[in-house]
Order: sequence, then C-alpha cells, then structure tokens
Amino acid sequence: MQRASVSFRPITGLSSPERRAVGFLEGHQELDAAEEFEELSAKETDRLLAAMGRWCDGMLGPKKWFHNFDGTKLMVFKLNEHRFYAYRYHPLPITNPAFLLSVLTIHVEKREWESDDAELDRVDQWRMNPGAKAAVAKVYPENGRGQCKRLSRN
Amino acid sequence: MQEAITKLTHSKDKMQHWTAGSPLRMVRAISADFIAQLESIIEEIPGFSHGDLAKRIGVSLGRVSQVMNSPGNFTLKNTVVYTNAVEMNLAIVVYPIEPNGNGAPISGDVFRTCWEIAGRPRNMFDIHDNTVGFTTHSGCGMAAIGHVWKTSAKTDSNNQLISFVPINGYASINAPTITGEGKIRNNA
Repeated sequence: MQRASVSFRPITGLSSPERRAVGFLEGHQELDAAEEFEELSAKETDRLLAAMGRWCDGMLGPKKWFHNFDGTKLMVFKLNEHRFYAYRYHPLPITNPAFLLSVLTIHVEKREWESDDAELDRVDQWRMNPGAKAAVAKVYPENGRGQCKRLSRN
Repeated sequence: MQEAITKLTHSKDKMQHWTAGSPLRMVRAISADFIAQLESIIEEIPGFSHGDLAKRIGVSLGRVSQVMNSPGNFTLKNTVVYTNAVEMNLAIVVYPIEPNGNGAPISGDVFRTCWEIAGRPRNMFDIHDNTVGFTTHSGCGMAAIGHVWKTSAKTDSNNQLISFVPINGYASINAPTITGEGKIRNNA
C-alpha cells in the first residue's frame, strides 16, 4: 500500500481527554473533513463539538448525531446533511490500550436515505494506510516502549 | 511548525474545554446535551418520530425540526414542554466545578444514570434510608450510588473507605472514583 504523507491534528478542548479523542487526518485531497469542518458556522461547529464530546464521554448516541457501522471500526458524525466519516483506532496499545481515537477523514453532504457504502470503503482504506498510522503515532507516541517489548519477545 | 504546535497543544493535559470563557458556547453545549437526551429517548420509542412529537406538543413538524437542529434559544418552558412530550421529567442540576477538570460540562445522561443506579430516590430521606453516605474531598455530599454497596463496604479505623464488593455491574463502573476519595459516613 502506498504510504501517503499525511498528518493528524487532534481537536483540543473536548471532554474526557484521558479516555478518548477526536482529530483530523489531513494532507491528501481526499481527506477533506478538516477543511469542511472549518467551513461550518459557529453554531454548527458547537453542535458538532457537542456530539464529539458525547462520544468522548462514552455515550452511544443519539444515532442521529453519531454512530458506528456494525462489524467495522468505522463511524460517522452527523449534522443535518453533513457526514464526517471516521475510523476508531487505539493509538497506544502498549502504554494505554483503552485510549480510543476517532480519526476523521472524509466529509460528504447527503440525505438520510442515501447509502454510506462508497465512503466507508474509502475510510477503511485510510484506516489501513501506513502513512496514516505513522501520522497518528507522531502525535501519540508509545515512546519506544511498545517496540522494545515486542523485540524482547522475539 | 504545525506539527510542533500540535504536539504542544496535545501535551497540555488540562486543555480547557471548548466552552471555557464563553457563556454563549456553554449555553449551546447545554442545549445540545438536552436535545441529545431527547433524541436518544425518541430513538428508544419504537416508531416514534419528530412528527409524533410535534403532534403531542401542538406545533408544526418544521418547528420541531428547527428546534432539534438548532436548539440555541430554548426557553425553560419549552424544555419542560418537550420533555413532558416524551413522558419524561426535567431537573436542573447545580454541581461544583472540578478543580482538576478541564471545565467540560457533565452530561445530564451521567446524572440520570447515577440516579437510576441509586434506585431512583425521590428525596433525601430515600437516600438516607438506602445508602451508606459518604463525603468527597470537594465536599459535595453523599454518594447516591451507595445503596449498591451498602452491605459490602469496608472502612479502616479512620472511617476511610478501603474496599467494597460490587453487588451489581453498575458499582464497578464507579468503584475507582469512590475508592480513592470516599469517606464513609455512618447513617445508623
């Protein structure tokens, strides 16, 4: 798989930062979630931040605001016709395995009845992209501890 | 440069919540939390829609959609009307700002869940009758979840909570918080 040169930017100031965080994957034309987020009005931004805060606090919905896709590591934050697709990722499997990220990738405007399939495929590709993993690891480093443990086992 | 800034902001453990210093944004956050609770309740009622909610309240579907999508100017009267329309009640909770927190408002879902876990006490007598009260270092009163571990809590000679065996699943969720800070008060 091609290693994209991308970066990860966490959204600061959300609730329960010790448990969960949300951020944008950026640096590729397909990764437009951050750009579209910046275009929202102040009211819309706050409504979406409230939804992200609920996810960070461990709440399961409402589904009209955000939800997972069964059998995947993918999820979406919704605001009227806006869809911000993301994947869930544990960036610190050794030092803090419970810590969970929602990595926002692409944005689409669509209606309730339209299918998410095409977007989900694209988001899943980003989830597996080595460049994306490296970008997240730059912000959430394991400080080498994870690597050492793995090496000592081999 | 951007990367350096990102790292810097990420390293601040107590990064202030996005509502900090802005009453308007705090109002939006609280309004959004209220709507989120309503939407969650509506989603749990099979077949119930915004249209049904509009009929119960006696307003148009458009008005309900407008309020649910952009709840900024909710009046207290409207919060009561909308809450009652989904057969729920409303409380306004005042609670202390946590000195070590980032100022994030605590969702009403959290308070409601604690109330459910506490056996839905209707007054302070219910709490006294059914719980082992405890005070916290911030002095904010007794643990409403106490009844869950009433018969299993153990204290040391200073009346400090040292352990308890959760009777049901809910207690274990709250255990880490209480074990560190709780101080048993003898109700007997």
